[in-house]
Amino acid sequence: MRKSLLMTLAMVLCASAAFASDGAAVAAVGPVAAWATAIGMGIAAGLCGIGQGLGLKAACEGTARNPEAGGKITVTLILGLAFIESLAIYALVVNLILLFVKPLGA
Amino acid sequence: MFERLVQRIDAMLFRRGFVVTDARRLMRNQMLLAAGGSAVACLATGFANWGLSFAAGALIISINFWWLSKAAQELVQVKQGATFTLLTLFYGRLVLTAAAIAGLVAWAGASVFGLLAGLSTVVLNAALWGVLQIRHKVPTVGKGKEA
Repeated sequence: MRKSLLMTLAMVLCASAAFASDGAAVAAVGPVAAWATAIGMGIAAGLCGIGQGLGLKAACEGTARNPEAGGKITVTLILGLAFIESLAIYALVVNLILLFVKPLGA
Repeated sequence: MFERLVQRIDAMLFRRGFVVTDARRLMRNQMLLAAGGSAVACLATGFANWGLSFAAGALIISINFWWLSKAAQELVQVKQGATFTLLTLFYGRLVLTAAAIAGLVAWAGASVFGLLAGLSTVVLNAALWGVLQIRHKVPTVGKGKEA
């Protein structure tokens, strides 16, 4: 575990040194940011979708078992879904910052 | 005056399909928080970019929350196909939100931090709701041994 962590750290440091030595480093950040955006948004949307699906599944089961508790379950479900959705929207905003504001360079 | 406003919002929400009382209260709190926060932000910044971005973010997330809570009230009663419908709605909402935020950030030059603060009103609303619910449940006097 420690060995793989050290190797990853070394690779990251070497990559940044290589980028820094090259004049095209700034230009290379653009495509890297685009890839990072695509991968990040895919992961965020997929995992948030799974989370919402699981939450709704549990709420449906709970309402089917105990219909009287439907109101409380619905409110808890709405809160959970709102939290999950705001996570996806935060990821979206961060990705849009990477794409359009370009804090890492051109 | 404030109570009358709250009653009018509640009546409007009930007519629009918010039949669960707590869901209606949550939506009403979100509307008041978004409107009040936007007014304060716009007035405090003198209708500068930050305040307008906050208002835009609060509007986007309030529409999102409206759609979500209305769908959740109906979907929790559905026995089959609820998850598929929820996911379709989620991705549809996400695409529309992405288009709106991308337009604001890339073309309208909105302040990203203002936008993020506006988008966080729903998290604040949910967190406040949770805190208030816990406060109502926890006894304020005694050590709980009486129960």
